Amino acid sequence: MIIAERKDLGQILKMVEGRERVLVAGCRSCVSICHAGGEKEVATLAEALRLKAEQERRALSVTEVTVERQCEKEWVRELAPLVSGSDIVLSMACGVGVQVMQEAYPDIMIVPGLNTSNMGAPEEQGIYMEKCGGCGDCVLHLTGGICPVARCSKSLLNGPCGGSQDGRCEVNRDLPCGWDQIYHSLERLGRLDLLEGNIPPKNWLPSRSGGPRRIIRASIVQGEEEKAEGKP
Amino acid sequence: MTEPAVALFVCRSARTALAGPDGVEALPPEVQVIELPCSGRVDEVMMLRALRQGAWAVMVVGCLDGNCKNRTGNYQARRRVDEARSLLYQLGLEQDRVRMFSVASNQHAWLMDAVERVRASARTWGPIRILEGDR
Repeated sequence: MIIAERKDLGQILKMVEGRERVLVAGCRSCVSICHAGGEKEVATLAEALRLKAEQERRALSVTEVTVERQCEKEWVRELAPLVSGSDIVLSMACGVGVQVMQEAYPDIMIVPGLNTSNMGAPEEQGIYMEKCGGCGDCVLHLTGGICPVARCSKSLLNGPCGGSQDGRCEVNRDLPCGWDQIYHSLERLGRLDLLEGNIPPKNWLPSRSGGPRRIIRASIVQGEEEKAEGKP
Repeated sequence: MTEPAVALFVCRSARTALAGPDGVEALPPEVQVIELPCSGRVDEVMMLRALRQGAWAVMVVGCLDGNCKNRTGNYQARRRVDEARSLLYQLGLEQDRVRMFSVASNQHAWLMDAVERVRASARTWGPIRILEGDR
């Protein structure tokens, strides 16, 4: 899932400065799981904005809404009546959600309430860890199910480096060394033989170097004729 | 000057501490008691809303560490109080307008002192919204 955290309130207040009707729009998917932009966080932020407005004796109407997924235009379209009644939308979704909202409502300012960080998973309650580098050319079958791109601080494909000590990373002692974890995982799996060969230089073309990536599933893409047919 | 309004969220188990030896709760009328099944029910929205709706300060009263009927409700409350205090700081308000108090059910005198301390601080801060006499 996508991991994000709320921006500092000072920054948020600056973004909505001078606006009288603010829509705070949350998302029930990833950012709800990491307690950054779900229903409860939307309510908390809305309450904080109202409190600040009261303190400054300023008229401010804050509306709260949370949709199933802000990254899909079908869900986002349902917000039309609320968006049209607002001066600005404070999106509590990840960066994808903010952009889908902006595409759906090009005439109204959509601003981010969160800083989107990474693709990861909860470690324990309240602690989230990056897991996937989104490189577009997965090597998890060679590395015992641990991503060297995301979980090695240097994204080494053949590690560990000399900075790995006692299973910790030299970049930060609080971080486990990704390659130490890979070794122990392969040891448990009885596949240390995978470490005998080098992983060849990786093809980075499917990664970020080629600009925004587009995946096409030809089997479900509708042709023009079919699209026209399906229109009511 | 009007007396400071205080919203006091209290866990049902800890509420006994509000009553004196005679079993009577004798709090100033400006202190509004909101009883919860457990202090773990309190959240940031409730605390901020209480401030917005006229409370000068918010007290969250829960059980002592390790003494919660629901095991961890008081720990949850403390984390949320910390979060609400952080939000107040970011909004430019006094963090101490929201505070957590952990009491045993027989700590009546201590809790009454705490209420007085909070009211004294609130007097120095004043209400959040300073309008002519409406709060």
